[in-house]
Amino acid sequence: MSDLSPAHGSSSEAELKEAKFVGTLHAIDDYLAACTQLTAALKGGWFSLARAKYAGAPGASLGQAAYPGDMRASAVVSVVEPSDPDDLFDRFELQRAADGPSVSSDAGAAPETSGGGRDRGRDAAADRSNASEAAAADGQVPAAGPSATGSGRGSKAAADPLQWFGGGLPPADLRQAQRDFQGALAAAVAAANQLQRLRGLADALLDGGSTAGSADEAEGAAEQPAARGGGRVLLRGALLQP
Amino acid sequence: MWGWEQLYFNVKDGYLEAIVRGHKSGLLSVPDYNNLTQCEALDDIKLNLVRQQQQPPTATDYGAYLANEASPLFTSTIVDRCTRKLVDDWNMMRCQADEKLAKFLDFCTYGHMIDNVVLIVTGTLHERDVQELLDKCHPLGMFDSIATLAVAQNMRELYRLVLVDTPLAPYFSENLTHEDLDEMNIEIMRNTLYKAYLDDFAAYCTQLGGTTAEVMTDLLAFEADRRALNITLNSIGTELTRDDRKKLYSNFGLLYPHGHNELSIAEDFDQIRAAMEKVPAYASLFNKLGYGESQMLDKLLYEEEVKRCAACYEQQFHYGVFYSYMKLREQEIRNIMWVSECVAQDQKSRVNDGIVFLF
Repeated sequence: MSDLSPAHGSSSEAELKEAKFVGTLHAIDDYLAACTQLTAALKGGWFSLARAKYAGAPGASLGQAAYPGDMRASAVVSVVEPSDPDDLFDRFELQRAADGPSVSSDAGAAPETSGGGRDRGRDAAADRSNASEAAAADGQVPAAGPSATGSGRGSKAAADPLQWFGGGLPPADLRQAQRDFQGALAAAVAAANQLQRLRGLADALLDGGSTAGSADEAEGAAEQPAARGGGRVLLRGALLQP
Repeated sequence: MWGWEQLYFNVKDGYLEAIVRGHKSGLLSVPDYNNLTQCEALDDIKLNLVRQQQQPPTATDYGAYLANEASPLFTSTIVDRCTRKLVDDWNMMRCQADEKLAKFLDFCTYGHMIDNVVLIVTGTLHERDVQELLDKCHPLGMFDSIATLAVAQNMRELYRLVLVDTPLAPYFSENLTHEDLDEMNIEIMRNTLYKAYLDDFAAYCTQLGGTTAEVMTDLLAFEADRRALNITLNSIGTELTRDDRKKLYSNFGLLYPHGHNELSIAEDFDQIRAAMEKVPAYASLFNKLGYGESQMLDKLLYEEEVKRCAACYEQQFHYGVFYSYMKLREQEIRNIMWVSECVAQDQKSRVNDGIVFLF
């Protein structure tokens, strides 16, 4: 705290430190708000899922038995370098799957033999694989759903996970649960970004305090990286405690 | 002519009617649900259902099924054990039923059979392990060749290899066998099979005549209407066309045929409400809902079903009591599942949103 006292610097430096401190507090508020939003979205999602189980038929399965055996993520989180070169903490970006060809649209005009059904499934799977490769080349996330290199039968699960639990007629509560969980995913990424921003501000706050002294003190600080890092961790822990 | 069954019903079916009325008296009451809603954890729910610590020790019907379950408990575990109670009761009655009652009891389980077929086919489409899927099937809907469903590549094979020897065979139409297996077609298959099953069940009950026909016609008509309503609600905003939607509605019920015509063209909840309110029996249900509000509709429909099932027991000498017992027990299991979910998710303030009191 002695590093932060106005007695050690000019009034402008004190104001700068105070502004950084206030900015850090705002960042804490934003982080806590993002965490609250995440908690609410998750709670809403699980409750909507319970409502869907309540409203569904006794034999309806909303569990893992309906998952495809070779699921692929419908959204990925990528690490992005910050635009500010002084910012040491990466940011996270949520990328949703690109829309790929649907199985039902490919299954419309196939022959009606039993072998044709299997071939249709393999053709559709190959189309999805090609679309996935094209999407990956463009930097987009490949479409969700099963991969074409599954067990050999050619899995025909739909790209939209909602259709795994009721075909084209998912109940309203299940759709609401999907919306809630998608919101929760976005809130989680936002919370992670807020935390990274908070770490950057905390480091800037501590750096501002440690460089206010003489060059000798700076050399001493450089020779004691563990102590400085320990101080950073202690302050970060103090700032981040609820 | 109804009434003659008083002379001969008890000869073959009197014992089992007494048994099912005994099972019905074991259903949970309002004080039981009040105790359950006070629970703080799933272990408390288990203790309330087992209730061995009271003096004198009394247990609910689920006591023997939950007593040996170790912690940690899950909602699915509680539901599985409660379902086992229904299955054991049903199998006991089925074993002792005469020919006509046995066929009636089998009819009551064909809905579960359809659900199991869809579960296996969907799971196979998703490349799940067959044994894992069999463990998830409802016990009341099992049949001998169910595991061979996994080898079918399309509906024609599904019918020809497996289902042709099952009670569901008559419900497959020529149109259905030309479809390939994907999620939408499987769901259409489910609803088409269920439609044919309900039509067949209603025809069988009408053939039985007497009080059974009178009671079951009312119950099955409500079931058909409720399914039509749910299909309409769930298909809004999907790729299911109006014609395809109408094909899934049953050929009987209070909504048949004019209500079905209106439901098939409905595009939002208010249009559905307008179609349903033209039927006096359902107008009172929708009057309890606010405009645009559909979340409470499921509970209202379950309440109506429970009311009709409970009213069945006011009359004697008919098979409707068996069907009603299954529905009431399933509703009770649904209630317990809801309470368990609310307790597990710390949503106790919402627990009364889903409980339908049976008596």
